[in-house]
Amino acid sequence: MNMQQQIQQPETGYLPGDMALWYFLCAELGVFALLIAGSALVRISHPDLFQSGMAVLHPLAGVINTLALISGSYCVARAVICVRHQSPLAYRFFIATALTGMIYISVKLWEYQSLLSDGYSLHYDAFFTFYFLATFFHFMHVVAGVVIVLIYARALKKNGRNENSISHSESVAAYWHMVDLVWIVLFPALYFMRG
Amino acid sequence: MKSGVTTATTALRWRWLIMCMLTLTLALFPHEALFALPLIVFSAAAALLKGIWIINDFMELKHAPPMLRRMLMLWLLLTTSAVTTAALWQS
Repeated sequence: MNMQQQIQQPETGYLPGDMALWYFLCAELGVFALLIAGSALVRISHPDLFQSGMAVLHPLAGVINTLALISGSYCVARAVICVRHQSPLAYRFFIATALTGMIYISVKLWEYQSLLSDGYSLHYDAFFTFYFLATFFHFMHVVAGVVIVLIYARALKKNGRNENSISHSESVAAYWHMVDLVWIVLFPALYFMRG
Repeated sequence: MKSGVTTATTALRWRWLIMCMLTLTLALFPHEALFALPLIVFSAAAALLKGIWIINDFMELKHAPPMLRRMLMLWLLLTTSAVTTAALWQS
């Protein structure tokens, strides 16, 4: 597919980003699916632990983080459109995406610090084992996402747009959306789906 | 070309705003035991809608090879079903 075709609205069968990246993203989603399915089984066998554990969490922190990641997804999607149409706004949208990621990281670190200082750790009970495993694994993906977005934004500003820019920006965006997609499922499961 | 860009960005903006409103609605939902079941159902429906929009419109998989889109939709459906079933079981 040449650049002119890529600039047009995606046609049927068009795969945004690199094929190899999609294998990686599917593998990552598989790992998260196992974590989520495992937690569902543990929740069914230990409902009281989940009930009391969820009551300790901070729903407002979850809401702020969800708004941050959704806004990041919007910004990175806009950045891809800007790259396709050679708009100089692409750089700003990538930076805005990284900023939303930093908001998520700050809030999550505060939440971890708050829980740990209250005595809730990975070994506290089954709920907190799942909570820390799932959210920290996801947290590391957000950190990686911010780093990737910043590196790509810097490269785009320094080197300008070339024939690979569209594919690369789509790959960066696909990674970010994958991280957002996982959080969209984790967020209600952790903070709001109380029995 | 210009109108195509405007249409795409307007659609994205609306989806983003609705997803933000769904998230805020979840936060404002009454959290008494009486509303546990509606809260679980609303949470699951909101997660599904957001996920579908992320996959179709933000990831731009609406026009991607159907196999990939179906795999992601299946992932969304299975994970949302798992957490919803566990929550309903508990309630």
